[in-house]
Amino acid sequence: MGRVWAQCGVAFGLLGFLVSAGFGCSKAADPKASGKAEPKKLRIGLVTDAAGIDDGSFNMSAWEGLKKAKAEAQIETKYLESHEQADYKTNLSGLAEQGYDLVFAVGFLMEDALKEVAAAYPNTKFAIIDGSAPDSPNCVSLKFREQEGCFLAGYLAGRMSKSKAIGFVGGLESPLMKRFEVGYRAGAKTADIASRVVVKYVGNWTDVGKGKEVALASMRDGADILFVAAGKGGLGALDAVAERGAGFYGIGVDKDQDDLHKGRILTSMMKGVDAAVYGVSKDLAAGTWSGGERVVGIKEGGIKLSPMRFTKQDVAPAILAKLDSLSKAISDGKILVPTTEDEVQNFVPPKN
Amino acid sequence: MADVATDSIIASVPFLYPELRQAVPLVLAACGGVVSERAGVINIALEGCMLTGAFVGLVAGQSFGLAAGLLGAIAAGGLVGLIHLLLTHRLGVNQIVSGVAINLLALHVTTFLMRIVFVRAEPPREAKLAALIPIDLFFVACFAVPLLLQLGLSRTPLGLRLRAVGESPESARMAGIGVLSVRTLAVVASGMLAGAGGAYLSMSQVGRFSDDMVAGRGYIALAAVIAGRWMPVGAAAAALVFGLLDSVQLQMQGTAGLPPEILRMTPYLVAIVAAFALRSKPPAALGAPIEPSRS
Repeated sequence: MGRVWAQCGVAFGLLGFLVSAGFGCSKAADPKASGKAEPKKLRIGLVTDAAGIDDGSFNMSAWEGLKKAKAEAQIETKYLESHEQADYKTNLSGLAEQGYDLVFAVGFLMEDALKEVAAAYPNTKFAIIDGSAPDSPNCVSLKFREQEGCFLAGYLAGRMSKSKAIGFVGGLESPLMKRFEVGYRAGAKTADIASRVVVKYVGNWTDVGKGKEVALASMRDGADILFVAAGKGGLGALDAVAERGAGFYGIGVDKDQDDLHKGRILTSMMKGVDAAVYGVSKDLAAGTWSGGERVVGIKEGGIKLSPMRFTKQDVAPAILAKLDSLSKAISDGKILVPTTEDEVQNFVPPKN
Repeated sequence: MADVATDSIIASVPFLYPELRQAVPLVLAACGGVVSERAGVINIALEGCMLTGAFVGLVAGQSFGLAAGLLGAIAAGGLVGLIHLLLTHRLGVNQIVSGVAINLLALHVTTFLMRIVFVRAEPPREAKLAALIPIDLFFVACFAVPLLLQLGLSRTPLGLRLRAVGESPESARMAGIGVLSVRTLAVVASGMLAGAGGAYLSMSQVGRFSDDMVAGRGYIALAAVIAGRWMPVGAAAAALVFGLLDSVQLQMQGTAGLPPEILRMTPYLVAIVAAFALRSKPPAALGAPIEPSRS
């Protein structure tokens, strides 16, 4: 019997080691994090959602914003990665417990966790990206009017489509994704009142295979330009578009994805998460912190299309000029981009 | 059809092609599930075998070529199967518990390795293949494997032994069958088939790896095993139907009013209904541990 138990012990010890290697990805970015901090140095932390710090998109962009702030002011930074829902509360309160002055929660999934943690640590400041913060002076919520950028993407796709059908490939349905979708559809409507938008969702954010199949299905449906906002599944969708080659374009999301398939990604709808994180951090460093809600869009420079490094020559100058004027009209408040199904149904495209 | 992808001869059959693309990994993994369960071992670890196969296939494929990648994926799947067997038959871990633990472990280990090998490498690399394994190879496998397995299980001495072990390990042992060896063979083969399914995902369907890319296909394959009444051909047919449903779901989205969530739950509903309606009976000794000392 004793031998069996010894074997069990060894096996589970090994298993435990492997598990901790897998789970324990929370790393301090600054090795001196627990060292002797000077009293005046600000400490700012960041908690990622399940996609991780190097998702090539959202979390990474937030971390880059924080690194930029660090380079310019006396700030000490650290991030914690979350792997599942249960980690949010642990990570947020962990950083607050360690005495961080400001903690960023990246992603609307952390709303509930933040509500609890922010109340428990009134002296710590919290900022949530894409989500609503609890109504408390130590919290700020950073939101984007993504629909404005999606509108421009939809307009461009609508004008460039040869088949008069364009596609939208989403990740998982949510009110946030709906804003992407309806903004895009409103833009398409503005380009051509008769153009068709094929809307399909992958059903999650990680399935690259399914992402590709969704894109193939959309193209079988006649769409020749696909706006892809589907997380890692989106990589598969953009692959599908690139494989079909000339005549088909993808449109990237969140950051400049134009170089994923040079010449086949028409543009990307860029969301300035880095700029938002940088702005809040700088405000705190300058002593001008204010809670509440900050919503940025085209006007504030938080939302824009990529510079189209590889495709600009494919787009007629008249279309580019029209994009500029639409962008200006949105920023001046002359076009109110829809955010819900009802609004897009009733949307009347602006006359030129 | 000028606008259909040209990577397959079957691509010219517009109805079948997208459905098969979705069904291949389910068929291979479901066949793996049948082999293991007919020998009496519940293999919930199919998901983990697929994910490990997908990862190893991509890494090996990138460095040593597609053939080596495919072999590596199959070997890696078999290895995960072997771990499942050792945990359950050497260390007495419950088969369900071991399977679930392996799936979670595979998810986190591949995610972790993915970060090290690709994302955090200097300079960062893309987890992407320059060329894909011809999809027709998998289309052929997805018909040949179930047929061969069906024949092997019903018509060969080894098949008979495997079924005997799944029905009554005790009697099999009395008849002089090496119960543990047969189960080892079955579970390793099961992992290898699932590993091949994983290789399809990362090396033929997309040519990319991303964490959790198997996204529950291993569990759908298990549903196919039940719906197919633990027969290779039946399970493959069920997997084909599930692939078809998923493909129809994608095609209908945005054109029909049916919520995609309904179609996404269909495989599981079909499995439950099939278990009742067809009076599906699992192998009698499914999930039963065998005494290591006596086998």
